Amino acid sequence: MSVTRSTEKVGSVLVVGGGVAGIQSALDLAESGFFVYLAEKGPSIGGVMSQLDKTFPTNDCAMCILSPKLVEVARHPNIRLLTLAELKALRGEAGHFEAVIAQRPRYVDLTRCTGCGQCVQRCLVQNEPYFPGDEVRDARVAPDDFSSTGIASAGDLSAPPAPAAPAAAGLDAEEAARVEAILQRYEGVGGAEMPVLQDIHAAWGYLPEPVLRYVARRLDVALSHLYRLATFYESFSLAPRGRHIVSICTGTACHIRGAGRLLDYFSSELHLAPGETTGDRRFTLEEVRCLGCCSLAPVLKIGNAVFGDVKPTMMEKILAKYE
Amino acid sequence: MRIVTLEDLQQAARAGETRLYPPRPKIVVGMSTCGRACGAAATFEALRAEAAARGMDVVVGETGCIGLCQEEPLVEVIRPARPRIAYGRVTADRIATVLDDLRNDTVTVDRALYAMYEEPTVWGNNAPATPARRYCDPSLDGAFGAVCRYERHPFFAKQLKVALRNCGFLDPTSIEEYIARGGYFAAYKALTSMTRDEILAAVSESGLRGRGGGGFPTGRKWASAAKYASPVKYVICNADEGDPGAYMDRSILEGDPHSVLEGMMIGAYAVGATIGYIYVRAEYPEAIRKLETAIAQMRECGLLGEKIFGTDFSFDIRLARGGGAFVCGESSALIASIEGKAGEPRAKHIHMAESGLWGKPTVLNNVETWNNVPVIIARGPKWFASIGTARSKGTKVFSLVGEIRRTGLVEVPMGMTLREIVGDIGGGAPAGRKFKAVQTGGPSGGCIPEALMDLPVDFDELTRVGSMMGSGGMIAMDESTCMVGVARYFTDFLIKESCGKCTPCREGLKQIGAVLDRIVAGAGRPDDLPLLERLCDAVANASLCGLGTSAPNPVLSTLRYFRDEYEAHIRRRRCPARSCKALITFSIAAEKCTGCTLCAVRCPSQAIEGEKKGAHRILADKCTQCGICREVCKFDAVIVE
Ligand SMILES: Cc1cc2nc3c(=O)[nH]c(=O)nc-3n(C[C@H](O)[C@H](O)[C@H](O)COP(=O)(O)O)c2cc1C
Ligand code: SF4
Ligand code: FES
Repeated sequence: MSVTRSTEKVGSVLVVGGGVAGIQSALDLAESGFFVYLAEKGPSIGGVMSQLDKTFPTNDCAMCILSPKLVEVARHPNIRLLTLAELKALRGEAGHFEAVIAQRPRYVDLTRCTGCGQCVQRCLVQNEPYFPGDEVRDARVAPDDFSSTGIASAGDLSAPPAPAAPAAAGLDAEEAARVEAILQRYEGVGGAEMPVLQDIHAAWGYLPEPVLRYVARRLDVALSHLYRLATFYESFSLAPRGRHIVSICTGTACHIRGAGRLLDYFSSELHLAPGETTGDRRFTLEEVRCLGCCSLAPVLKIGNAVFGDVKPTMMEKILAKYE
Repeated sequence: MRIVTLEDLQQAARAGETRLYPPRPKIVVGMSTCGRACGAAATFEALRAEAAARGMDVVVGETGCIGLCQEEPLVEVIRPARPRIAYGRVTADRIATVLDDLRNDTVTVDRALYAMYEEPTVWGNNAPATPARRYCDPSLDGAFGAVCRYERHPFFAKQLKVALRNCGFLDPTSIEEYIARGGYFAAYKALTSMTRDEILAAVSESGLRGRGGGGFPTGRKWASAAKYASPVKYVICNADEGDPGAYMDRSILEGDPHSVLEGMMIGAYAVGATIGYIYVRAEYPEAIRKLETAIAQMRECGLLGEKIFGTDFSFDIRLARGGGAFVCGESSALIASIEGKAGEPRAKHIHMAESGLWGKPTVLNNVETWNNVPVIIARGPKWFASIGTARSKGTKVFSLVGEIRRTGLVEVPMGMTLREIVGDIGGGAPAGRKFKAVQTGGPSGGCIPEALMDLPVDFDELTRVGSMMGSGGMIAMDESTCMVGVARYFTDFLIKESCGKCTPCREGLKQIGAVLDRIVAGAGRPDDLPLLERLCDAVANASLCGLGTSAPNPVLSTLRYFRDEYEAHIRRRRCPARSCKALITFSIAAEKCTGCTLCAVRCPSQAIEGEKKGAHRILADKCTQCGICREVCKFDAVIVE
């Protein structure tokens, strides 16, 4: 590779995909003096990261990292953003490519939109949140998405986009009847989402996705709204849990009287951290803030039974009772 | 049974009276969650079965929290012409003494906790119900006379039970028993003979301040909601009790649910509300059950529904369950949660009194606040205002827990000093240990050192020393508690519970946490303390809701009173309390070790080696500082430095 070649300006660069990787590449290239076309299939850039709450491993807030970059892309004189765009064909060789890009209509006049978000709220087509164990929609392993975005298969743009996931509400008649029974308890009650989810959680042991879909339709709320409740409130789980829920109180009284050592017991003996379930589904470990039995600290709850003044040395005997 | 007139109430009271004090002996078991955790349910069943097997004619009943939670399961025996006797730690296998004593008409003095000759009562003769119950002549001698008198028992002597007036004295599943102890007479009086303004004036004059933490004057809150005209208004009871280490609200709801419901009824009438909500945290299933029962009983008696007591007043109460989020105790977050949204606080440009739940005027009060209302109406605001200090009236319930000799639920007049509460009632630090500090106010409060123990406890004094009344958790700490560790504990708690809506709280707390983390890990830097103070200042001033603005209190108060501990961690890399794992080492004193091998067997990391009957050693590179060896060693040979 000759020196002249590597310093030679090749004009412009096409970055395909407006996720955080694409955004960062576009910004770095633009800063180095290249003109960048950033093409994104969706209506907006940001990708999966914009849907995350925290990032691994530092627990930083995802949007706090991402949003300055989004703004910069929009403002950078060296970046031309192409949304709703797909690469149809690519010709040429390194240093001199010719790309054919098809851009779908947005149906929104961008010069007049103020970003108030009203249309999103009224939209009849709901957005689809991601559920654990839901490989099809998992961005990391979504084979369908890959081929339709990828350069390899430039699909027919006139065809409607494939549904993000099969909308199978997979509830059999018996399950549907159980949900209906719960829904009926709160017929006409304002704010029914919470008690309905709580009752479902009590009945199923977690919030199964098909049930949530069903409930969303019946309560006439967006699925994403239920998903938000399910992830905001600590007491909901979206994944099945163990046969016995072990809740260790980490409230103040229990903390100063050795709750940490109970947690240590679980991590060293059962390799279980809070929120995790043993491989045989025997136990799920949880932390709770306070069980209101502070005078008996440290306190532990298994199922509905509360144990007071627990020491790590007693754990083996206590757990033996639960199969 | 419908209750409309005063006669109906009195009739219900008579029925309750015979349930409370039947002509035959009665055994009551404290069956709130703390009792159940110690096996009260098994005790209850065993007592029933054994009494039946012995052919004894006794009633076995349940009651709420008696207060001295440490001695759970607590059992009391009531029989004609004898004092009410309490027994502690009556697990199912230890019921024989109770039944033997009852059959032989005696008492085993060293198993009895106290003897009660007359019930302490706040209703006195002013209340329409029966005056204080007298069990028997106090000059009784013999075995009964030898048992410590209730009013002289160190745990109970200084208490004044207003909010806990019925806890432990009645069966929470019986509305008649509540009425027999004066319940619903206050509501009757309020609805039938007082105008709304009179009630508002009475509550204002009583000086009642919110027991949920902030201490806002309840009368003022009610008056501003009463002012807005609206066909629909709400009253809400905040039973989210999020402060870890506090369980007063749970005990009241489990032991005396009707008192809270009656308070809400009076409040609703006064402000013109027609619907009440109780928001109970999901971690309290027993309280939820008790409330469901109580609400159903009220409906059945016509105490909820239309035309209560024959007046024009209609009222209904609904139950909402929380979802395990601390921030939902905050008023606007709680409302969002009831409305079926994620519980995020909002800025309070508009007062809840004007636009709260579903945009309607709303009054939100804490469990204990509501519970005090019937007493104020029954005994009059002057009586209530005569208890307490100049600016904090009445009593306050505290849960006295932590490293202390007697733990439990205590209620004292405002203004009692910390020393009296922790030292006299709680009995001070456990034998052989030294008391260090007491933490009040939960994650929004602070640690108060031994030097300030003569502080009178009221809303303003606690705030002045950098803590808070909070909802009433009082956690005693001794020298084995590391104060930096406590600050880190609360910061971790708040990082987890912050809703994340505003940046100072979400990000600032994380930074405070990172600094504290490195201090306890032995990597603190000399300028970390000023840095902490700057961060705390920013978080306190810039956060949106009370969680964020009070979040730095645990850090600031420990910095203020225990700066030397922080400095020991940073400068000398030492944890004076010997609790920060990174700064301590475990070893075995060879001269004390008998080579029993117990520690080597129990050590989860196989970090102990040694021959049988020979001194053992701890391998520093394998030891995880879990402390199990120290716990199992019978010879006190494990040294922590
Ligand atoms: C983060 C946060 C948590 C709170 N948690 C509770 C709680 O658990 N219980 C409670 O009664 N009040 C709690 N409060 C106080 C309430 O916002 C509200 O002030 C109180 O319930 C009003 O009732 P009161 O006037 O009777 O005290 C909390 C406040 C904040 C900021
Ligand atoms: S201060 Fe904290 S808890 Fe309160 S609104 Fe802000 S982020 Fe949420
Ligand atoms: S702190 Fe553990 S039960 Fe309250």
